Amino acid sequence: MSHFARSIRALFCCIKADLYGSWRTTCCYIGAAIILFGLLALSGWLQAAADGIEGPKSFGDVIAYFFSGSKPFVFTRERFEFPIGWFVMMMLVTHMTLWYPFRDIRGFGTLVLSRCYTRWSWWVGKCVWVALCVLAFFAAACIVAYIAVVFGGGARNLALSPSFLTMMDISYISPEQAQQSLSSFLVGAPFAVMGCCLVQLFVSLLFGPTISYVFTSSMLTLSVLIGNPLLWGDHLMFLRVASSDGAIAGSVVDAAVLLLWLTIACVGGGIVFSRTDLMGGDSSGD
Amino acid sequence: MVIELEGVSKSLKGRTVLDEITLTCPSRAVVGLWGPNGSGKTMLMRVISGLVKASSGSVCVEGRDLTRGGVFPPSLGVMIESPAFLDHRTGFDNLRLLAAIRGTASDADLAQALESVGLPLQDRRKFRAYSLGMRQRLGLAAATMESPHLVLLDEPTNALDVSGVEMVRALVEKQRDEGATVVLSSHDKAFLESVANVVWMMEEGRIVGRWNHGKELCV
Repeated sequence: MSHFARSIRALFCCIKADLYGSWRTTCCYIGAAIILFGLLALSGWLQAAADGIEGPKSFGDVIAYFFSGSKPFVFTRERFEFPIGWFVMMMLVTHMTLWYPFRDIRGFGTLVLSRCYTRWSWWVGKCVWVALCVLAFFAAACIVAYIAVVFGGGARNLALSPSFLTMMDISYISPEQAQQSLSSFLVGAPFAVMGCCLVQLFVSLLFGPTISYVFTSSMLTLSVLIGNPLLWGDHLMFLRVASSDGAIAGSVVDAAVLLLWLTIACVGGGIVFSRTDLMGGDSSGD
Repeated sequence: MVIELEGVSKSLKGRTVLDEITLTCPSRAVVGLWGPNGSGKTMLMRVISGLVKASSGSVCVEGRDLTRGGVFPPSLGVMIESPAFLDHRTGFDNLRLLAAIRGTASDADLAQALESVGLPLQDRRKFRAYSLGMRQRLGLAAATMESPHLVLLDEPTNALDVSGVEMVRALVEKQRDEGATVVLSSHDKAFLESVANVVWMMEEGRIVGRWNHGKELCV
């Protein structure tokens, strides 16, 4: 068997071990996400009722509401509402991918790693595991949105209703343009979240999970306040994506920024990991 | 030589944990590392296994240069510190997951490995229900099930009773007879004397002595 084939085999085994080793904890996080999405759906309808308009009607309305976030902070007389629901959701998905790699390399992962031909198999396996967790998270969002629409009697498509656009204060955007923005958002957002989680994983290699999580939280908080394509908020909030002019150049810039984050995290992390001393649970030097 | 270390040193946070270690280990030999806590035995094993990169010196294991870091010996079985496995799977399932990575051990080999360490194949308990001694035994099974050329065992007799220590002795000798090089560390000098061809004594990160019981090393 060639070296490449053996490395691919090792990679698949690493992913399999990760799935077996983490599925219980991941299920708990997905369960929490489902509850959170349910609460968000409820809050959407309550907010609409309070505003005296129709609540989110379609699948697109509900999904867009989940990931709406906020527009950038502008120092005006208007009160800025921090998007708590969105922020909690981001904290949940980043925490879901935070601790398992750290614990794994100090436990069963060491036995796995010592059988891999290089450390890259383990690292790439972890990147794939992060991606699968993020996809599971988005799948949970879609399932809850679908169930909400079934119970609410709404349309099971991505069309955004005018009342929803009014509720989100983006009624100046046409429903067609908004739906187009939602479609591109749903393609890009999972990759943006993956980038966020992978950068967090990279930072945790250098400084540990706690500092890494503080870093992630800080970046997300900053991105709520400041609109900038280098920060993650512009890619993770539907309101930011919908509010942009939608120019092709802007989309290319966004895609390039996402690719940059993903490359830094995956390649940079792999390089750092290949040089990291694996001390296990003991660093006393015995 | 299977293991060749030349002037290997390692520093952590300004503290020297390995200091100019030079040693060689031939094939078909059992090499012991003996010393008090903090003497550097575990760290030396981590360097040999490729888990830790030496700060200076050269590390060559089975012809592979590990000095750059990031690579592992081609045929390695290792048990360092408390072995950790997946809590919600049986011992056999855990071994099967590990064996699938290289694909060199069959289910029959895994079953034999479990039997040789005194863990019956029929035991369907999950790893979380294992006692300390059972966990240690599973770690030994994992380290030897693929008949590796190099076996590193850090304190293999921890948490084992008298029969368990005898089991480790038999296991080590079997690995040696099959052509492997076994490096094991222990606080138990008597155990090392009974099983090792040569014992390196370590203190404060340095090799301070070596004793050979006159057993001829097979080179």
